[in-house]
Amino acid sequence: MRQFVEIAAFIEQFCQAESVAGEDASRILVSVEEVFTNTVSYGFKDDSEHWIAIELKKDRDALEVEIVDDGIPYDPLTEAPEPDLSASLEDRQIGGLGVHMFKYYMDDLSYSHDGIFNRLKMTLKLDQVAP
Amino acid sequence: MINMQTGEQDGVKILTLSGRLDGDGSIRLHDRINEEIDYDKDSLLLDMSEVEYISSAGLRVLILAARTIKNEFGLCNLTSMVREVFAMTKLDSAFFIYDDIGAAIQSMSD
Amino acid sequence: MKRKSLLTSGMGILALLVGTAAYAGIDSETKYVFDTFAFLVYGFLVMWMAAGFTMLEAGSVRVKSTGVICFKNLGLYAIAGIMFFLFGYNLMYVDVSGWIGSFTLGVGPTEAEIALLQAESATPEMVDAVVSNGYASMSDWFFQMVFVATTASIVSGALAERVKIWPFFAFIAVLTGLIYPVVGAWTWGGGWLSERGFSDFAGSTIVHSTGGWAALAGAILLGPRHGKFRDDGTVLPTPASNIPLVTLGVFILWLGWFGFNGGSQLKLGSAADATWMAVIFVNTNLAACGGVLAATITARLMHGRVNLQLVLNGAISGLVSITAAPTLLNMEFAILVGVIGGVLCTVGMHLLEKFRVDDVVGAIPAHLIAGIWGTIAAAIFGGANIGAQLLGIFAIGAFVMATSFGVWLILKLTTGIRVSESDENLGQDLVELGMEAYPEFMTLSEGDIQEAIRHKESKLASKSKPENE
Repeated sequence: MRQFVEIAAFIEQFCQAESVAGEDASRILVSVEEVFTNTVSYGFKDDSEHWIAIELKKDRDALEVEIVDDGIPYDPLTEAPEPDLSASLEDRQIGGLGVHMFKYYMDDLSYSHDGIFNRLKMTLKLDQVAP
Repeated sequence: MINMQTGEQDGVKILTLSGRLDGDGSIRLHDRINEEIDYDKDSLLLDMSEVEYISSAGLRVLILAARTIKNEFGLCNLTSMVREVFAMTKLDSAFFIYDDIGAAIQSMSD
Repeated sequence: MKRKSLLTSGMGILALLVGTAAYAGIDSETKYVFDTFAFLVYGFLVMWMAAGFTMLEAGSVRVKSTGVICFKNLGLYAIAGIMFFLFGYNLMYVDVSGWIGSFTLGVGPTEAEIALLQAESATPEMVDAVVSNGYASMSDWFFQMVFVATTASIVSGALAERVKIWPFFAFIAVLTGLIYPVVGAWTWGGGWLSERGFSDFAGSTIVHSTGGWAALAGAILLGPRHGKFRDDGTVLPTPASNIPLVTLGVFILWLGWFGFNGGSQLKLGSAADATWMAVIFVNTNLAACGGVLAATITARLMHGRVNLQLVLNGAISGLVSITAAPTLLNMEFAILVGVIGGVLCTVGMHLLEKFRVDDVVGAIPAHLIAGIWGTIAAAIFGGANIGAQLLGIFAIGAFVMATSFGVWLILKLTTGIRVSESDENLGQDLVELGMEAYPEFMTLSEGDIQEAIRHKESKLASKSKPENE
C-alpha cells in the first residue's frame, strides 16, 4: 500500500498542471486509491510481479482515468469480495465500502477485459472552478 | 503524507491531524494512537481541520479507534469532503462529531 | 518355530498343513507385516486429520486471524511429535505401574529390531526376535503419536482469534508431554482404570474428552472474544469466513476417522481382525451420518433454520460418539449413537452461549460432550461396565480439568494468555505475524459501519444512565 504514494504524487501533479480543482483532484485520488487497493488485494492471486498502469486524460470539462493491470480477470465493479462478516447477515453486500466510495464519486464507470489486461475506466465531470 | 501533533486540554488528549488519511496515513495514525493513548483510561479528540482527504482505510482506523477507546472518542472540525464521505457511508451516526474544539472538550470532559 | 519343524520332518509337512488348515491362520511374519502396515497406514490417515482440523478452524475464524490459526496448527503438530517422542510415549506405555509409566527420554527401535536391520544376512532367530513383538515398535509409536496430536488440535479451535501464540504452544507442550500420556497410562497403557474395566476403543474419552476439557479450561480463563457477548444479552454472530474450507475440513476428518477407529483394532493379521475392521469402518460412517441428520433436524427445531456449522459439528459429534465402541455388531445402534451425539452437540452449542463461553468452532460440544456420551454409549450398547465408564469419565475429567486449569492459570499470571484488545480488533495476523493471510486490511464493510453505529448508541445509552463515570 505504500506504493500508492507515488501514484498519488503523479495524479496530484497532473491535476495541478491541468488546473483541476482541489476537491475534484481529491475525488479522483480517493477513487484511484480504492480501486488500486481492491485490485492489489484481490486481482493478483500469485506472488509474481504485476504492474498497474494509470492513464489520465483531461477533456474540456471531464477527467478520464483508466486503470490497467495484468492480474486475473477481475472486475472491481461487480466482484469486490464479501466483506468481513463480523456483523449481522443482512449487511452482507458485494464489495467493501471502498467500492461504494468510488462509485459515488465518479460519474461514468466501465470495465472490460481484453484477453490479457483488466481495464477500468472512470470519468469525473469537473466543476468549473478557478484553480 | 499526514502530520500529527499531540496536545491536551481539560484531561482530553487532542491529536491535530493535517494531510491525507489514505492507506499510508491511516497506518501512521493507528501507530500514533497506539503509542500515545491508553485505551482503557484516555479520552481522545481528533482535530480534522486540515484533513481534506479520507479513504476507506482512514475510515477503518477511525472505526477501530472508536471501538477500542473505552472512554470518550470524538472528531471535530470536519472539512466538507470528509463530511461528504461520512454522510455517504452513514458514519455520521457512528462517531461523536463536534463543530469545534470548544464544544468537543465541553462534552467530552465530564 | 514352524520353519524348524517343516525342515526336519518331510513327511510331517502334509499332515501339518491339513491338520491345522482350519485355524492356523497366517504365519507370524506375515502377521507382523500386516499389523505394522496397518499401524502405519491408519496412522497416516489420522495424521491427515491434522489437515482437517486446520481447514475447519481456518474456515471458521474471521479472515483476519487465518494465518495465525494455520501457524498454530502446524506448530502444535510439531510440538506434539517431539514431546511425545521425548517424554510422552514412555510415560504412557513403558513400565506402567498403575498411575504412570517411565520417565525415560526418547524412543527408538528395539535392540532386536536394530540387530535385524543391521545384520548382513538375517537369521531366522533374528527375525523371530523381531516378529515376536507382533509389530514394529516404531509403527506403534507413530500410531500413538498421531492420536496425541489430535488431542492437541482440538484445543486450538476453541481458543482461536484471541489466545497468544507462545503461551498456547507452552500449554500444548505440557498437554502432549504429560497430561495426555498420564491419561493414556491409566487406560491403554494398562494402568488402574483399565484394570477396573474402563473401555474406550479408540479414544472418546482419552483423546476427545481430554482435548475438550483442556479447551474448556482455556476458554474459561481466556474469556470470550471482544464484543461476542453484548451487555444486553444478545450474542454477536460470527459466521465462518470460508464455508467450503470448513466443509472440506470436516470431510477430511471423516476420512481420517476410518484410520482413527479402524486402526484402533491394532491388528490386521487374521480374518477376524479384517472383519472387525470392516465392521468398524461401517459403524464409523453410520454414526457420522446419524450425527449429520440429527443436527440438521435439531437445529431446525431449535432455531427455525439450519446453520451449516451446526450440521458440520453434528458429523464430528457422531464420529466422536462412536469412537468408544465402533465394534457394535448390531449396526443400527451405531446410527442411534451418532444421532444422540448429534443432538447433544447441537444443544450443547446453544448452552455454551448461554454460559458465555466463547468456543469458536464448537470443539467443546463436539468433542467433550459427545466424548462423554460415547463412553457411556459403550456401556449401553457395547457391553462395557457402566460403573467403570463413569469412573473413567470422572477421574479423567477431574485430572485433565485440574491440570489444564493449573497450567493455563500459571501462563495467564506470568506471560498472559490473551492478545490486547486493539490487536484483537485489528486481527492477530497483522499484529502477531506481521502478515495478512488475505490482504484485506484495507477494505471496510457495511457490517463494520453498522457495528460502529451500534457501539456509539450503546455508549450514549450508558452515558445517560444515572451512574456516570
